[in-house]
Amino acid sequence: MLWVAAHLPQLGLEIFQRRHPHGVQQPMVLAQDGQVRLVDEWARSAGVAIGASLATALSIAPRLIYFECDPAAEIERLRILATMAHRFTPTVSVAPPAALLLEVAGSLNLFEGLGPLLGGLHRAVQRLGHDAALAAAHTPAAALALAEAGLAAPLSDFPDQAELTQRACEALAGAPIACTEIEDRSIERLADMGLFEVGSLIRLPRHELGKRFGPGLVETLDKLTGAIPDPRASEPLRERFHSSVHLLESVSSKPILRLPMRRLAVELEAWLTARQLGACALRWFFKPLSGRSASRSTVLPVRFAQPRRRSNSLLEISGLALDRIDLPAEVMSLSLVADAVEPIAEAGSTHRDLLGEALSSPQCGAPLMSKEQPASRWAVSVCSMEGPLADQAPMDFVDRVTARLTGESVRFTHGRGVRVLRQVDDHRPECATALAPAALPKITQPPLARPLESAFPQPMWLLESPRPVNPERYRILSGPERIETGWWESPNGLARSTAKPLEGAASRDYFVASDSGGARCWLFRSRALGCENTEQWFLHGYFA
Amino acid sequence: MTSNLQQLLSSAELWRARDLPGHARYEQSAGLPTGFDQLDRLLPGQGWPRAALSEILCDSAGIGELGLVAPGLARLSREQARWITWINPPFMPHAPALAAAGIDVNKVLLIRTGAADSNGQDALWVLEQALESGACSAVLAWLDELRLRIPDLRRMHLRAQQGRAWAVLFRPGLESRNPSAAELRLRIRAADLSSEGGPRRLLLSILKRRGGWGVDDLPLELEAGDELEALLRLWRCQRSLQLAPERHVADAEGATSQPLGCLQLLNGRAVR
Repeated sequence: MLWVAAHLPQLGLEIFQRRHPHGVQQPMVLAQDGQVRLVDEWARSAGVAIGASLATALSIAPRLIYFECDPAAEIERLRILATMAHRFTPTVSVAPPAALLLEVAGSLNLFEGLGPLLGGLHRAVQRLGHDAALAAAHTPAAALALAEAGLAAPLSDFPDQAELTQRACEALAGAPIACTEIEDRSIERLADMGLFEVGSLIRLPRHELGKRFGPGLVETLDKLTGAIPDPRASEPLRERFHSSVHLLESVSSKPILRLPMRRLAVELEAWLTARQLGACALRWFFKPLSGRSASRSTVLPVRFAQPRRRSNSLLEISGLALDRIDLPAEVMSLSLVADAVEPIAEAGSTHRDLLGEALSSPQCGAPLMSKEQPASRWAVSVCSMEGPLADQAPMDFVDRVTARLTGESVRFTHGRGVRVLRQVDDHRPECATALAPAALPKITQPPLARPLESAFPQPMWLLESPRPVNPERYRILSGPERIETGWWESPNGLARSTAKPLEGAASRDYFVASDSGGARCWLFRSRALGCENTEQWFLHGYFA
Repeated sequence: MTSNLQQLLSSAELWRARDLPGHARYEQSAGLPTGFDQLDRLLPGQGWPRAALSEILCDSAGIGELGLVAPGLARLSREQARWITWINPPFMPHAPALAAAGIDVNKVLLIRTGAADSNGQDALWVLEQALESGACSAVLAWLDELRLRIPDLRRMHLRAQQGRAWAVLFRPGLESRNPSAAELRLRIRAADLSSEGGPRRLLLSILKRRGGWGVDDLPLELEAGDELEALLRLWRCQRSLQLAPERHVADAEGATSQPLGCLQLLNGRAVR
């Protein structure tokens, strides 16, 4: 067993810093029962010390901001960090008040050693806005004590159990007793006896220690050294992502909102990475200052044509959509929910083929694929196997335009939006073209030319609804071609939009005609069911 | 001094004579074949500019404006896995006809900015994104002429070079009076209004091109023409033959060789 503990010394303050809409330039302290418990850089340089009374601190630094300690929020935050840490191992547990525990023996090969794994964990925690001290040991209690004391044992990248136990015990000997899980009353009594370090405590005879301090102390010491097992409840991986920030002060401008939005997007990225997923649909909620219009938050849905993970691209596209909507005058809290997620392949170092050879992850963009560079064709096909992370340019474009054009609504309504054409196998011209959500374009090698199904020419332009015209102004060139109009379908069927002016018409006779300006038009004469003598001519397209 | 010269030479506004036909290095800037030999011979790079802004000026829809660009689009859709983006087209593109012209409709991206885009800025933004992102091999755009300014055109031209996209703006014929930053400007009109049938023609004038003067009223045959009735009769005959393959083979060398030839002609025109 190889346990890694991540101790977050400033956690209590950091959860308040996260809630600040913009970077704090003032001294901040965390207070508990009128006493200063944590200080930030600014407060420390102003001379505020841990343990001072709040009144003293305020007199030293009048601009001081202080927050009351919130243990429930700290544990909630640790849970979120644990979700992120699932990227490194499936066994993650929360160790209150301010630490995470990871059992990483099984992950060393994947991350190529303990050193790179610790480095990755440190960066990941830092990216979420926290300082961390890491330490590895053979028991969870020892790892926690070492991390809190800041005494990481020097270990090789693939330590065996003997090396691990020996190094951890050596480091532990110098750790202060206050860093262990021994209860405070015992620590005080031990200090009175002149015992400050774990090493001197371990050397004492256990039986007599037990008699004097009770069985609790002996048990804690045994867990520390690994003499008895120390099971930890591991934190489950969350199925849904939901995170919110309650701002410390209200925000009334969109640019300032970008910073808290970035924090949420980074958390989402960490969650998606841990689960190897990409987000397809997000919802942002902007809740106004509580008051009369309280509880009605503005919702900003963002949809992606393909799953995305990187916080930068999530933010960029959300930002384009954000510009299109009106926010409450004063935003007090915002939250982010991932509604739809899809698995995406991981690009990068973990990609290996069956024989263990690292697959290259080509940085190919679509522009490579022109005729001038035939060699890149192959790279493209590798790319499409790699999954969507590798080749983003075409879908980035679609998502950006969708976000800008549709804003709140993601449907192709009011004639606004982005769609791809699809050919539908239907003899009726108005049903032969469908509009579909965009999917990644691919090179299809065989020539695509496909003769028309119909024996008659079809125009490239089609009017969305046929326009009534006077046939005398056109010169008929060829025709007629008869097309049944789909009277067998319900009025709510496919032909809904175009069937309107032609109710009752059973078939149409199409003609190619030319108008006075030389344009080649596609006209039809509709013959109503039953009454043959009422004819109406319509213009339905242009041979452009 | 040298750096000034370098700056000047790297400027996008300046083009050099070695990019023209006849120069040894000319092949490098080969254009996108238009599908019309007559036109290819007149254009620098023997085709549409692959990374530049082109303008097609025409007064009414349906005179062959899409037929002119369709062979180029078909080639791009075969060669590249990038979008062919249509921004605010006046009508709905008809997928079967595009497919028959050889264009892969799955790469055709239709973008409409709709009535909410009252000042045309969204359409311009979309066009700029389309060109700049490098996600599109070709962009066809119909913009709001009232709001279109010359600096916008210049910007679009630069973006098209940046994203290596063939940008085509369709504009009304009146715009031929106004200057434009486009690299190639064509004006098309319908030809032979009087004659019945015959191959379909349009008259093409080159208003602006690199390395040459304009060309007036070049007649261009768009498609296998207009004896549609005759061709269609032959085509129907061909289709009935396809239903009975044995007879088709037997007859192909003999009596019905004529319809086959015509059909190939028709297909060839459409596919090229």
